[in-house]
Amino acid sequence: MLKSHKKGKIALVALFIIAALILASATAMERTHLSSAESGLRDGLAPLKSGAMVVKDQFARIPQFFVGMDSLMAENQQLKIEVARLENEVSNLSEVNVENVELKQMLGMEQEVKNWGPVATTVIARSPDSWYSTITIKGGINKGFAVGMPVVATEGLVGRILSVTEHTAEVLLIVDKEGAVGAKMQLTGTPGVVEGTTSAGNILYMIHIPYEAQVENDQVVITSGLGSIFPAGLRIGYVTNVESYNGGLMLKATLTPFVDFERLENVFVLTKFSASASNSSTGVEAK
Amino acid sequence: MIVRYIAVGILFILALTLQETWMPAIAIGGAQPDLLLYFVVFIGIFKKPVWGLGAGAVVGIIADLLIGKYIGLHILSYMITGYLVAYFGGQFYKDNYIIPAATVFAGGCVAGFCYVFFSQFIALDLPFWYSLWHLVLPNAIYSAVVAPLIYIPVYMFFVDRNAVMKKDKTKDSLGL
Repeated sequence: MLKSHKKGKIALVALFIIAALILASATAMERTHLSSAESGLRDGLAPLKSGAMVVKDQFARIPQFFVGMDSLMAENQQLKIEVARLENEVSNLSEVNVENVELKQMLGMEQEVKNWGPVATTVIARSPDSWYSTITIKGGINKGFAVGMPVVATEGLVGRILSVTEHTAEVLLIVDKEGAVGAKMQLTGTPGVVEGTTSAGNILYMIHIPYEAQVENDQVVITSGLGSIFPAGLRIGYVTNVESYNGGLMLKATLTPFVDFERLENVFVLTKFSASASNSSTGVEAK
Repeated sequence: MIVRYIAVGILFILALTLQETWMPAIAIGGAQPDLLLYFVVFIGIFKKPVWGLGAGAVVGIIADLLIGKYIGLHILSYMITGYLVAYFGGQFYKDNYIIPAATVFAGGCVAGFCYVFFSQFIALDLPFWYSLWHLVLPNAIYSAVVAPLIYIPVYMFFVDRNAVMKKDKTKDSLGL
């Protein structure tokens, strides 16, 4: 009798685990609509998160008043070195910049960004655990946000909207393992795929780069527009390391993103970007 | 009693809010204290295994609904953690402040291991050893270091001081 009771318990636990795993598999894909429980929970917590973020920002400013002279001097020294490096870089890149401006004009990028209907908003929360790299932004269906819309900051690409509620939207950052982006080297046009890592942090990898490609440190990586998820030409990051992989057949570049995801506060949602717009951009590129 | 339940509810909402807003600001190398884990572990320390299981289920459901993907993984990992903490943690003295730190560390390791282990059966498929070494362990250590700071006020507020004093008096009168 006792034995059968124990067996029953084990069967129940096994059944529960299987049911949970089936549910986890079923919710692995991106969904266009959230359940009312999910929407209610997120919308209910949104004002609290917004308030907590304001308080956090106020606290974050306090240490600035107590920064010591030593650290200021060290920072000053560091900045001088950085200025010298940047001056050197600027002179090297001036030619590229001119070309870049011309290309942007050709592409009508500025006009295109305006046409994509950028809507400014603020970050109100971040992923509750280390498994995912997501942020929650203020505004959802009420501001015209929808699943799949690209999100950018003034520094560059941030990610895309994963889910929306009435008052909030969850954004999958490009540093997330599942936030892959079609990309290319700005200078050479070498294509590749930029992906995040499992660990939290500001590191990206550009993979699937042909072995013979000319990839060097400090080269800028931008979106390619392929895949129609993101517009072409948005800045992603710059190369900090290059290594071969896949038995030496391909190159993998380590990138530092332009956007500081840990301190991200203000973003823009491109509410009017669509696949057709992306295709037109890609078409111009092809020309 | 009702006041305590209300306080637990308010603390839980506070933990949910701070987990997504303040904790990322104090993250070190991506590791951050897990306020939701504290809930499961502390309830496990004070209550019976069935309470630990229940707390794990509630916290897991909320965490999964907030994330909106792979719903079920947090439920499983927190339920197992809650049950094991309550099963083994009930034997220790509650007023020893080293215990919560050690229990939170063990709980963090168990919850993280379960999450990575169960992810192997679905599309998430986290890199097993890498995740354990670079995510689970740093998070568990950080959570354990911060644990006493959370545990002491929780212990002061929720443990019935009168009951403890009465128990001590009874022990004294019996010469124990």
